[in-house]
Amino acid sequence: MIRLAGVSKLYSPESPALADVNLDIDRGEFVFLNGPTGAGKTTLLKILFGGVRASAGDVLVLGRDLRRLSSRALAAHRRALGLVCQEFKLLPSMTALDNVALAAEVTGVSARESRRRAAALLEDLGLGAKRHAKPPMLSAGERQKVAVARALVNDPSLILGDEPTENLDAATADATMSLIERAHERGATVVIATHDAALAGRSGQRVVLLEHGRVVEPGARLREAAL
Amino acid sequence: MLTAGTVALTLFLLGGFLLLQENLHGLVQGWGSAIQIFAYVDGGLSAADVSSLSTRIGAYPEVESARFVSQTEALASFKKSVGAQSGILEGVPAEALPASFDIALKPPSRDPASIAAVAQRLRAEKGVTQVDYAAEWAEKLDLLALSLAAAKWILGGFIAVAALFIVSNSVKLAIIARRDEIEVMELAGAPPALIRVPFLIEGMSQGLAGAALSLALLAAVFSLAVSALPRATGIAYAQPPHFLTIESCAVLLIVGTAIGAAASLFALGRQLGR
Repeated sequence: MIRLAGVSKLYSPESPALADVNLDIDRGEFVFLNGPTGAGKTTLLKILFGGVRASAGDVLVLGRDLRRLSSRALAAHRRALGLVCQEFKLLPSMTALDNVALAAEVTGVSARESRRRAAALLEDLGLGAKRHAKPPMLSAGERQKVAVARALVNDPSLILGDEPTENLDAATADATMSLIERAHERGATVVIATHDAALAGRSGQRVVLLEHGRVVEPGARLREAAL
Repeated sequence: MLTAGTVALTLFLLGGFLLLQENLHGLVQGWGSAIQIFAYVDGGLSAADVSSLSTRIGAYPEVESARFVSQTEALASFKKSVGAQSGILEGVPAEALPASFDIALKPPSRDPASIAAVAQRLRAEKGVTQVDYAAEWAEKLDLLALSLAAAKWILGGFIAVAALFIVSNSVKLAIIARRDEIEVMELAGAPPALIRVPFLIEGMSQGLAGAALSLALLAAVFSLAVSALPRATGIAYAQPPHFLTIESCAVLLIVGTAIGAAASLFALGRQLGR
């Protein structure tokens, strides 16, 4: 599913964001990327997403070599992913329903079907009554739910989360993680970057520890740990 | 709207040059009809010699008409032109002024080179003593034609670059204004064409609207100029000026749209990368 071999990322020669990272993640795994701020978690996630290109090494995600993708192929790669960001990245001029439906529409799904899927997801997340509200009218937790709904609307096989519970209260953070865990139970592979050790330790999932751009602890795969 | 207006002004200048160029031939022909060649003949020519010479000149392929003006007619014409002071010419013999042929050329031959060539041939005719024509006028017309042709390309190039820059900036502002939406679409994996095509269409629409507006402006200015020019210059049209042909209008619209498209692609390349 994901294979990183000798991956480095240099924003400046003096301090590499990632250095010689080797990491394998199997289909259906739930992995936390944990480490302090500046450890390289977000950079690693951006490389998996195709937001930045690795300076060196091989990056295989969902069978695609991300170092050699054209812009069109990169867009196709992103359509297979669901991304949840700390900043939500919702369009303030659109309703919650339209924000979620947009992610489906840009992949070629009809407007009617996109809105149907978006409405069903928002209903499922308890936001049915607020589907016509615009993001500024929603609480932080509700906005994060909309962002999660948007990440899930295309039923992605890989979900990437960058500090998805940052700035959320404990109850909302728990609800957000539950939504992602439900997607995982349906078969999605999940990679979450977080500096929160408590969150990473929750439910005994695999934790990959990063420090100064290096993997210091690759974590035990659940299947291996179970053996 | 501001962008389309600016594009309209720039294309208006380009269209103006096209319009002048299309009508220059007619204008030159009009002014050229005022340029006559006068071939003065020996006063001792017999009627048969005059008739023979008239036939030869009339047979020149460039000549439209060759009217013989006898010495008597020349004096009468001179007296008429002097008007109230014609009394001072009383007693002047008819032989004082030379007889001549007033020669007008056919429209396609009213260019400086043809006029000079005909004059040269006339000088070689037996019985012709002197040939006069307004050489300076003819040369000025030639220079004007050359200047217009050069100005069209030079100014047209500058204008096209200016329009490109204006539309490009307009599209750039539109991209910046929708930066968040573009980012969300990119995150969701929208195909590059889906993100870029609306901006491309926007630039092309602005270029097309600007070109259409410039045509409307040109048509208005043209209709005013057509009626005012003869009154201002005192020269009648040999053939009435015409507005741009359908083909030229289409060219202007296509150029406007192409400028819009090129400017959009330039702005998209700069703002969103390849």
